Amino acid sequence: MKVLGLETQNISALLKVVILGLIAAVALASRLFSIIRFESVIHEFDPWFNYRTTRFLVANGFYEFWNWFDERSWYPLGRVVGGTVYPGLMVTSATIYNILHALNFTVDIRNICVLLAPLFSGFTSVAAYLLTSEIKDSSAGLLAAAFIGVAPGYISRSVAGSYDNEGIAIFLLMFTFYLWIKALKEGSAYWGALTALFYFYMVAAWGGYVFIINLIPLHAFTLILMGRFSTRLYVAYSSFYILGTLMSMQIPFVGFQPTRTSEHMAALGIFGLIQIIAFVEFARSYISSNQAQILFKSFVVISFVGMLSGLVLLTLGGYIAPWTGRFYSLWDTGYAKKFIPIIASVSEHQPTAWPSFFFDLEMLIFLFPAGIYLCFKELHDGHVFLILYGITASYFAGVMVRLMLALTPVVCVTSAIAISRLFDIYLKLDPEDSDNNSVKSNKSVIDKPSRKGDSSRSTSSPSTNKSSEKKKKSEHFRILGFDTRILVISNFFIFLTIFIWHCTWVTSNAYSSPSIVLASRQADGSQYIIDDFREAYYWLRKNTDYSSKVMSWWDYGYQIAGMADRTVLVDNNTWNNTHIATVGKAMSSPEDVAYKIMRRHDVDYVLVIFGGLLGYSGDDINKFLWMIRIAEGVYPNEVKEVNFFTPRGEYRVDDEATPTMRNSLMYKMSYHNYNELFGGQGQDRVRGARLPIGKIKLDTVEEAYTTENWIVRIYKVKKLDNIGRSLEQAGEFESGKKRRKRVKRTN
Amino acid sequence: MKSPSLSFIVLVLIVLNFCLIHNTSATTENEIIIPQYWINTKIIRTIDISTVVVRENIAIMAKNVHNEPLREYYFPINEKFDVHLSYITVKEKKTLKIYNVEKADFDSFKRIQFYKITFDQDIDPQGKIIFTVSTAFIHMLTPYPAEIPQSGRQNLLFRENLYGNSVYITEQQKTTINYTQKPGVSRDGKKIIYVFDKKKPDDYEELLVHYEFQQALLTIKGARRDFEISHWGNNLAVEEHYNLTHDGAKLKGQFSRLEYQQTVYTHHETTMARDFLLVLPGHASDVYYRDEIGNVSTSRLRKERERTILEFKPRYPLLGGWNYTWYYGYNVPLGEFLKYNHQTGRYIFKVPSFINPFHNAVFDKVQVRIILPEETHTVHKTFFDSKGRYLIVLDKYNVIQEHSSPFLVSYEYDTIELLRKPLVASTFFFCGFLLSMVYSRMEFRIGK
Repeated sequence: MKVLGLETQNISALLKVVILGLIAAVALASRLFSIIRFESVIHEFDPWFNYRTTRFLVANGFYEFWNWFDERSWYPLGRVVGGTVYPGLMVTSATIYNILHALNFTVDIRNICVLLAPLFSGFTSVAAYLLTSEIKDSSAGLLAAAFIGVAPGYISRSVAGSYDNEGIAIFLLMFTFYLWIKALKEGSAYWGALTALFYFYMVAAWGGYVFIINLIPLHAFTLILMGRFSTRLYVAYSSFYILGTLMSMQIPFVGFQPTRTSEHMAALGIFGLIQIIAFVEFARSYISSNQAQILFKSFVVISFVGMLSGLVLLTLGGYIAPWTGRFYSLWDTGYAKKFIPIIASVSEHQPTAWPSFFFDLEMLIFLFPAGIYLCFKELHDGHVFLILYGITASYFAGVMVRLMLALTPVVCVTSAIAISRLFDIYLKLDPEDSDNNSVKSNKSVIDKPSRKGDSSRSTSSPSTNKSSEKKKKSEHFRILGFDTRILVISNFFIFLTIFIWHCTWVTSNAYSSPSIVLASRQADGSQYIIDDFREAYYWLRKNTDYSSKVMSWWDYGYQIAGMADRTVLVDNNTWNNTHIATVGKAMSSPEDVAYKIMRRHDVDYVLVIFGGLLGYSGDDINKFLWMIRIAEGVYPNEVKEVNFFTPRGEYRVDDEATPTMRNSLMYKMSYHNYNELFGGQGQDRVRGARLPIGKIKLDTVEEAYTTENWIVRIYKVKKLDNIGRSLEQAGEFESGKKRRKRVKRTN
Repeated sequence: MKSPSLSFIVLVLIVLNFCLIHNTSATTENEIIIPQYWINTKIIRTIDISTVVVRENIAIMAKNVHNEPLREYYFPINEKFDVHLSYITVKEKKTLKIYNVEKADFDSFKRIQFYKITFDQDIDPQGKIIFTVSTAFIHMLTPYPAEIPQSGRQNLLFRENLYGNSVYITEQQKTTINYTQKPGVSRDGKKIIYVFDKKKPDDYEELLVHYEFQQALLTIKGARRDFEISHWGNNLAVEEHYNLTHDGAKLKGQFSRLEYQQTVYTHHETTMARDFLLVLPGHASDVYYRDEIGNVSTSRLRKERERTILEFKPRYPLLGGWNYTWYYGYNVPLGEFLKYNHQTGRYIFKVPSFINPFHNAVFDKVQVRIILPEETHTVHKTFFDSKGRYLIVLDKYNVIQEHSSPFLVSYEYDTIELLRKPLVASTFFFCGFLLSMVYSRMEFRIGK
């Protein structure tokens, strides 16, 4: 049959390419709100580190980057950046940068970094299409691509400017899974090796690769338990595991972890198991007696148990590192709070509140179980994979807000399967003619790769079998009534429209703020930009000595290093809890104690965030309890959380604030000169409190700069007094108080 | 296709007669004795220190006391000031005819740089000539005291030789100093006047003026202006980078936001630099104003008929000793600045101004770069170039407002070059499709 002089299969192929291209374009475009509203700028905290390292990579080349010892962070310890970073993201941007510049497109590296996540979101749509097409069909694939393109759960981490590992990692995750399904289906070492290659890229890009290296073995193990061991599984898994592990060990930050840590042991165990089973299967093909069968089965079981106990022994013996704290916190949500407050203090590590599932996935969260149910109904290898992925990811998403990101792709894929199944039934226009026109039969053409060599293969491949099987089913469920169809289809049309509307709304309202720039409305409705952070950072950058050391809470470490270009004591890498606790101690101690700590660490400037004037709630006084807690964890005798609470157990900053609170450096720096601004008594708009009357006296530090809206306050640490007085005495002398003479007392 | 001419003639019309300063450092100390062929019968000197730039205007009546006709007259400038010399111009007093002035020898013993003035005619023995020497210096005023509190008053110190500089004997002289432009200043107006008789060349007495100067001393340490010409887009893209320092009295202690907020509306006369204004061409579009860490949101654009005005505030108010850098850029239709000369077959590009005057700031260094359309040169490459562009770089030091004059650049350009970009792009896509056609017909499988 021909339309416009083209074969229908050509037209549908063309349409698919066009639709997929448009979906990728939409995925990219919907992430540009922040550029249009604000500007092309790097967002939040971690992206600033990635941006800084990318700039270094572009300027100095790969080998310099690999050996980079960054002496400007974690003062005085420094940080071996090359060995403690997942370089995938930086290398990706630097490669794009170099290619573009080789072609004489003089794009600024900042713009590449800003647009990298949206670009990879486009790729993610394509990967989702491929994966879903592999499991169901291309129409489901297109739906999945559209869903993942706009789903807020993914957009939250991939808007323009959010230059973080997750931005490219989700694409790699999806594509690796696609390649794995493909390898499993084809049983070819070629696809297995490709899976390993993309797994390597994923390892280079994100710590979340552990999810892949546990999910794929879990899939293989489940298939073995289901009695579905085959040479295809053997070839795919073995080639993937060997190549993938070897390649992943090339990343310095990963190193020998694949052979030394518990997170990777499952993959190794399954690899061993699959070898034994393969051997047994091989041997069994020559021997067929029943006794031998029992012998083989027991051999498999015994060796599996043996390996497991060997693993336990090695772990106990200390040869294999046990699970790290971060992983424990995935099993026991209260673990981090008790033992590692620094992990618990990060908001994205909190357990997910249920509305955020709806907020991030809208109707997909309801279609997700339906999709899983449909997977159970067919239960091919790919469906088993989706089920496993869905179950594990929804557990993790429930434990940690941040892992909602890992759940989103599978929700999109399964929902697409559900909706596509529905459309298969309700959209079939001419049920009588099921050969050419129907979506189904087009699909069998689509599934065949266009290359000639494939056609002979795919007739025997399971996908065609599956489709013909499905065709039978769909004919079984044929809906004849026109009204019923209209009702269901229009209903779902409305659902999908609302979904898109919701996604756009969420993206534009919740996920498109750079967070280094705040926006508010003026009385006349025009936008007013609050740019205090950059004001302060730029002031530091331009008006302080290049070697100045800045102390701040670790949240701002990356931003100070990136925007102010000054040495920081602690940053968002949080690898050294003691160092962070020391900063926490300095902030929560009285001036004299804090001064000693600051002198010892060569601190020149202290930076605090204060939202009291503007009502910016993410300020340091609100984060103060975490500083105290973390400091108490390391210095239990010197910092006590209890002392910061009123006898009634309240955390207050007003008249009733405890003396410990009012004497702490953080409190003093936040409210210094604040009462005077109000001409008597300051009003803290975040905590809705009126401050105690009286001047806050600072002896060891002096205000160096305060931004327009008082959000960032920078203090300069005073040098030791010239004539050996304590700074407190010197301060008193300056303010005109006479020192009481000791002589008098003796008289 | 005509072979594109390799030679470009850069024609720079310098309206003002200024000379570029090159520090010719002498290797050995040599004292230079200028023969006493002249006598200054009268010198009238006016020094204006009411702005950041010190402008000196010296009217000299010189008499030839030699026995031969003379053409050359030497003028000394102390090395210390010479590095800050912005311009030196010599004119005939009445006709305002410009005389040639050039850098002569350097006296490394006395550390004096000589300038040789050449008159356009010989002056006979006992003949007289009246001419004016105009000079401008930057960085001649030092804040004293060097540090003031946040809302303190700034005083400047000006030091000079009371008797002026001359290599010849001066019989009579009068020096006037304008130290303020403010009207209504009491105590003999706004001038100080000195009158002296008969001074020898080396006579020296310090002239010291200490006066209140309640303005920011802004110095642009470096400015770079890029003009990129695109015939294809009929567009002139301008981008300017600035590196600004407040050279006034430094802030004593630290900055207090409280004090700033309390005084900002009452304390108008301040040395703090809070907001700036830049004038752009009338049809300027896509104006952006950024610094190293992104867009600066505190800017406002005002369109007027003949010009566009960019008002902006730096991220923080600039106090004494503080620095700030930024850059801004815009596009303007090229037609306004480009003419085609049919006789010579060359394009003439007019750069509207060597500098964009910025408040009363002085420029330590200005670099103007003109990026000509894509041609056969590989000096500079930008978006979508296949060959490269010719880049003209002009550097100048000690620049002040007087240097904001236009200049012209002429070059050859083949119309056929306009087709380069579409041709390159279509070739690229053609090759891409060709490759994909070949690829889809290839067989990569091992076995069937």
